[in-house]
Amino acid sequence: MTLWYVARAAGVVAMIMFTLAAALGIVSSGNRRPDRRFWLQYVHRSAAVTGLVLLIAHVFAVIADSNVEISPTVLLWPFGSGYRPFAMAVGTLALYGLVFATIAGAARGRLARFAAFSRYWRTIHIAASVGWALSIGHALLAGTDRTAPWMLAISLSCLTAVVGAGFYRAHTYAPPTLVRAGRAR
Amino acid sequence: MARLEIDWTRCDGHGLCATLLGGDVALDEWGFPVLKGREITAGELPDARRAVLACPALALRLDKSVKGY
Repeated sequence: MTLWYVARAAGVVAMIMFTLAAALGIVSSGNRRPDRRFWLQYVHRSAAVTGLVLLIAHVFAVIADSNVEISPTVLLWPFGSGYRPFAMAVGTLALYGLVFATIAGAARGRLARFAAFSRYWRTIHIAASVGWALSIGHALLAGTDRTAPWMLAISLSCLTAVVGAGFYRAHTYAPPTLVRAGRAR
Repeated sequence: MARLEIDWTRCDGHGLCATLLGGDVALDEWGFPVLKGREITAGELPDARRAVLACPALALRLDKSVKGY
């Protein structure tokens, strides 16, 4: 049973970390203050890496745990898990997305010399972040606590945080050229 | 020894490089970077690398092949 507690805790905190990463990603790339942007970017990366570590712990724990029947094959073929097949499929697809988004983010500097990569990396990174939305779906569909009020509150606050970050970004958006034109020097 | 480079086809003038590497990068009146052309010493390399990774447009680079002019 200990493993099951570890699995749940790691899953919940991983979701919170990726929510933080997603919200900061949205907010920081729209920020026009270089010093603030650097710190937002720094916490964005740290949150994503922490989330990834917890996500891996979550996956190992649910597979190793004997409380529910989840075989390691779901990692390769997300459909057909014994335990809540649909929720597990959503969770595995979320895992693919989040791992891919993190890899794309980490590889950013290393692949910067390829013009094609640097042109499309942001698109790839944002597209892979769909994994975050799937992780919220997974939290609402799977797990012992999914209907507990506190767990629902966490899942919905995560959703609200990212949607809020999106609205904030849209509200404060200013093209760099305009900011520059208004810059007094 | 290494030297900073800017890929002007990518630079959007976000200004993070000048914030992080004040000794090596200044900003012109439109917010675009002006390199001071100093050599990056071995001790400054980690900070320079961090700044390269912080550039939102991936426009800042570190050229390690240059061994002085």
